[in-house]
Amino acid sequence: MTSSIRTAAAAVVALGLGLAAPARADELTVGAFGGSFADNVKACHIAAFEKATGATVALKLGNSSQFAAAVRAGAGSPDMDVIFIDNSLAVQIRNEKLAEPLQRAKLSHAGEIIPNAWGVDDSYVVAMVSATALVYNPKLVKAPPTSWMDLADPAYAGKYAIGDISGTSGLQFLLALNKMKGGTLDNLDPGFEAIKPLAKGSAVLYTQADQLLSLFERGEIAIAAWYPDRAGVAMDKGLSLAVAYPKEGSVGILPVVQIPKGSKKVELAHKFIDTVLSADGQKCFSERAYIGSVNKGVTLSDKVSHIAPTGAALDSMWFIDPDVLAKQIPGWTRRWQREVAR
Amino acid sequence: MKRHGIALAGPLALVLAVFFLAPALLTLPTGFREYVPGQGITAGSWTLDAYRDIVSDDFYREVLWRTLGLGLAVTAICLLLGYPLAWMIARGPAQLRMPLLLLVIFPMMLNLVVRSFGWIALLANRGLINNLLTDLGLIAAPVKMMFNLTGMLVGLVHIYLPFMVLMLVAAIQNVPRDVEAAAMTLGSTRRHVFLAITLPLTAPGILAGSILVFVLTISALVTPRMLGGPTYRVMATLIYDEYMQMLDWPTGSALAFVLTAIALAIIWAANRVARRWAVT
Amino acid sequence: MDAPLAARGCALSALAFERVGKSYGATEVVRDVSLSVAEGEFVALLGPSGCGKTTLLRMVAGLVAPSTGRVLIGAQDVTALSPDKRGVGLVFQSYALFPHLTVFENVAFGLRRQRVSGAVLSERVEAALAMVRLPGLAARRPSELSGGQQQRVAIARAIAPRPRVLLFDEPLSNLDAQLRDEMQIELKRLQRSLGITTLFVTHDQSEALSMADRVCVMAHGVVQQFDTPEAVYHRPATAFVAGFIGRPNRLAGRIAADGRIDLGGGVLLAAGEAGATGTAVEAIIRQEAIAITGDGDGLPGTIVLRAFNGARVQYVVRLAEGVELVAETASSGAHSGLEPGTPVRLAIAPGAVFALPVA
Repeated sequence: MTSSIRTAAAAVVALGLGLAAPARADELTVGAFGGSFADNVKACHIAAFEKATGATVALKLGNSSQFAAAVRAGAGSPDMDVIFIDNSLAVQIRNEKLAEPLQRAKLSHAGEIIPNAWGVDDSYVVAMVSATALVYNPKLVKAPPTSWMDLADPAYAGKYAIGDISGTSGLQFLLALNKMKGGTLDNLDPGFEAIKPLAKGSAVLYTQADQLLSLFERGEIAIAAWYPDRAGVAMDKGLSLAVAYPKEGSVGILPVVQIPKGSKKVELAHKFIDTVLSADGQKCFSERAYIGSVNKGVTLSDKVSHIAPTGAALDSMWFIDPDVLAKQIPGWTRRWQREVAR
Repeated sequence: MKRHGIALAGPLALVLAVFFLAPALLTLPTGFREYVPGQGITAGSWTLDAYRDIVSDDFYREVLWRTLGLGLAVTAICLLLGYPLAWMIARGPAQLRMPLLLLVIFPMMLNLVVRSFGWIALLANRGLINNLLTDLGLIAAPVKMMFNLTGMLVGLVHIYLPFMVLMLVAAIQNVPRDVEAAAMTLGSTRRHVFLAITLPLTAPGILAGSILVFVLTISALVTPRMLGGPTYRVMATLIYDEYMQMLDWPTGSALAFVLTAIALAIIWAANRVARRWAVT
Repeated sequence: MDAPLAARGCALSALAFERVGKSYGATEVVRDVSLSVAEGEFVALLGPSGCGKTTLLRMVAGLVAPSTGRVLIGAQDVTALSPDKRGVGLVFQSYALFPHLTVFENVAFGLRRQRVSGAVLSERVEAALAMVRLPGLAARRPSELSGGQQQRVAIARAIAPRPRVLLFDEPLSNLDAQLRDEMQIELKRLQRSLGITTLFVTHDQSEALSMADRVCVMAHGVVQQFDTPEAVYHRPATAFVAGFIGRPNRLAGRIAADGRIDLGGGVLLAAGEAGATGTAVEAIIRQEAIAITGDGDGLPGTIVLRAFNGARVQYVVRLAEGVELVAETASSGAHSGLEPGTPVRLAIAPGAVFALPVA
């Protein structure tokens, strides 16, 4: 009975993700985030992987929670062999015993990776380092912001944006505010108290990161709690933006790679992950995506390191225990729905 | 026995069973499982927690009422806009019929997301309408038309109006002109003919169109996600979030079942009313 | 009965058309029709489909507006009056009962519009239903009735408000033959007892001839003849009427030098009204006007076919090679049992033969 429920659920999720072509023996199915992220995965990882192994890669696009839902629905026979996913949901998958442990012996670049990139029991490995920070339009914001609470500056009334809790930045901004106001991960009262007026005044509670592109472009907002990597790509396209890491510390975002349990192509999956972790792969992705690398051998160009979290910004960054996040997010989300977004 | 019955019921029943009933029934047991955040669904568990939460939580109740209210409002607006439109198509000048019908059907051929984006372009704070009103000096600050009732009503009415109109066109075309003429010769004014004859005779179509629009509205997901956003939630977006964001499938399943049960109850009640009105 | 007087419009007519015309674009469906119907008179509008008779009827009800001319009910010009203010009763071919209302409410509909209510209403509905001999079904829905019963409800509904003029639009055409005959007599009796001026549209000549006081034969939107049934039958005013009424034989011929019609093969036929010599004509001879005589005078011929249809026997008679016509006689008569091959003589009264010029 349970397996039939899972099959049905898998079918529903598969429909939601778009039907994939039937997998061939030498085809690896990789779940990745859409937009420029997928483009960069193709350019930096898939091309090299296909050249080295002769195998091909089929991309499935979605967000972290969609992948987590799909892996759960697959229940041991997943329709993806490697997934890019946020670390908190990777922990959730691991807790549901649906993660295939990574074998460092099969990863030639394992030794080049910073030690704390590895998940518990090697159930995943961090693929890149990004953050939730402040992004602003220097034409509208004269002095670079320095604190999360600069969003509350009356000068930006109605001209700032924060994310909904369903997006990483929304959650992280809430947690950052909470920490600022003396709260802990067990007590979010101060955070919720502080965010309510901010959410009310926000031009939009964005649910898709790229929603902000048009708002920045039209000058509808001047400043937002957003992602430096998205800002970097947008700046390449000509948008007037700048990134500021608040003095209270930005919050780290750690997209990881993980192999869902039951993948029929564990060997090939390891080879793909090895490509992702290689210095070449990391450097390529970082340069294109304005994102921090986990390979110790990578040195970022000035242009990228100006935007991506490095140096002092990286040192002061808050990395939240993903296990706590996995357990708390549903409760926080419900509270948000009822108290903030109502 | 069971197999025999299915064979008799024919292909339509099979399609309904596979695509509607089966998923609904398969998700039903999930609603009685325990969910532990960070750990997942507890295998073999059996609890009424999800349903108890729905009953006791005023947020769920609010969203449920909002969803039903939205369904009623969209249905009522579709009916009020759709009836005159259907009338024009069914009875209007011949040269108007085709263009009007095409105008009504055309949006149905466009992707839902595309249409919603169209409305976003129109209704956003810096959208066409607000820009126009601002440029004309009619308003100082943008009028909020998205992520609230207004945007939702506009978007949903636009999507479901064609369904209502097509149902009503068929119903109006089914009213014999002689029957209306008979009423006129018996002393009915145009107004009275409409109220005493046309309206009751099109009632089955009105009811069918209303049920269709109502059920489609309360189960709509894409448009509420795009035009309602995170602040204006309805049951469908709530269920989606429970499933896809919080991974709390038991709660999502329980909410889905409550919505399905209410939809079925409304269809059942409407059918009873329709049978009373039924005219052969 | 007094056709010339009525046509002049001098008498106080109950219903009159004055030079009425109706066109849809370039199509003229009614042309310059003037008619006058006396109080209490039963007039049948008879003609083939598309002759404009229904259009004329609907003009009286106000469902069609004339393009030219006037329509009068009594002394009132109703040309521009809306249907609800005309006080006419219309019985439709489709009956057009209100399917969502009971028989009682159907019949009460017009009365309620006249603000009749309470006991008076029930009384008059019951009376109307009794008049069409349909009591005890008041609580039914139309869908629960037979075709004949629906017909009676439709009539009751039309007469209940006591209309000034009663209009029937082919009301019997959906009934089977036996019921139709029954209803013809019943309708006529009903009309007599009510004394309501009645206009009755039909394409069935026997219906028109048997029921109406006067018959108006129409073709191509024009009135061909408006007279008593007897006159229309025996003294057709136009060739069209002659060809339309009765059961005519139609034979091609030419006017001979002596004024008779030459049908070819040496057959010459005396006609009531001959045209110019040499004119190509269609000879119209009513079947029932041909008498079969065993011997003596008349055109010689041979029986080719015999058809027995109950009251009458029909014969196909060959007069010459390629010249055949149908004659009939009573099935109980002397010449009812002639076998094919039998030589006969046909006596045809010149007054029953019409020569229609062929265009």
